[in-house]
Amino acid sequence: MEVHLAAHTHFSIGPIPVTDGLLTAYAITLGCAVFLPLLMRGAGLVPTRFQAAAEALVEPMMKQFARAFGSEERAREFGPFLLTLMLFIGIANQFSLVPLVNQVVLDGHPLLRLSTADLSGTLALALLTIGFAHGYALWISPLRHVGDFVKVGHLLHAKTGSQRLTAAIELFLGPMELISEFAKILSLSFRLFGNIFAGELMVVIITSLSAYTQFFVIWPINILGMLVGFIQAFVFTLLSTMFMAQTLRPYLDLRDARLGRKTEGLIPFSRDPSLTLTP
Amino acid sequence: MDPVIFKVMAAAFCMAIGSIGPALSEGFIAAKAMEAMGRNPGATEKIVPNMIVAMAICETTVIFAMVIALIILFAV
Repeated sequence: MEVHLAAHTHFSIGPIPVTDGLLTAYAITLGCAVFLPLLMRGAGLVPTRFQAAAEALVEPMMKQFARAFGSEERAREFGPFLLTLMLFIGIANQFSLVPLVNQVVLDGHPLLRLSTADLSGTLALALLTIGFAHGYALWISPLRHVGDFVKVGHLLHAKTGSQRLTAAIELFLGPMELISEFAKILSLSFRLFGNIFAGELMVVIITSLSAYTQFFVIWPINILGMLVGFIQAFVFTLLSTMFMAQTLRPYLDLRDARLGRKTEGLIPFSRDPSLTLTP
Repeated sequence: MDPVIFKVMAAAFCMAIGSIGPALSEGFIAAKAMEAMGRNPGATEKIVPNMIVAMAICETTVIFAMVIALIILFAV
């Protein structure tokens, strides 16, 4: 078995290359779209077993989103996107548990490959999350959002000498904020990619090192890979929530003030990215 | 000397030096978590998930180093 860092393109539809990671992602999406409504059939006030398990997962996450974004209604606006992210990443990380998935070959290369073990997959997810946050902020109030990065407002309002000095320093802090946004994208994508790719790589190397025992010596490594997959899905979602809430909080208040909804009674957002989890 | 030697040594040094920091920091996180659990054993199920998530985030820089090492070995 070899390990490839880059995804392998099977064919191209026009200008878009169809790689094996892309095929896996579509397989997961199709599988979820077919099976999840079947499993959630009969959902009502008295929960079925699958519904109870799903609610045990969804409810703490919705409380987390309410604490990050401010109120229950806002959590219901952003909750579906973030929960879908968690579901997709959680399933995509465990996809190597499907048996015989590496044996389906198309012209000598495996047809399917983990979509989160592919840097383009994780980069796409990170770009989607951060891009959505900034795009929505730009939609609500473009000038104010650009003014967050190019801080000329303080310079125009400064009266005294010391205020002008702080305004000049803030002018240089603006591009650093922009760089930190790119650092967020990179760190989100690389964390997920590194963990999952390392799991796959370990399996390949340990299997090739052992002579007669390779079927059961790999078992603890697979268990560790599964654990890491679930933890990384949760960490990705948590960090996406924190980043989105950090970007969007003032703009949501602005939008609610414009629309006349109530803006008091919200849960305050602490600026430091320390984890405020309570189970 | 064969140029492959430099590639391999670069990847080895990258991983070796890059994993010192996160290993120490994860040990600190675990130590503080143990201390907090010893002080208040009833709060264990609140401390342990936070500790695991904090460790996953501290792991990030060594994952960066690993990706660089893999790029050096396989894609350069």
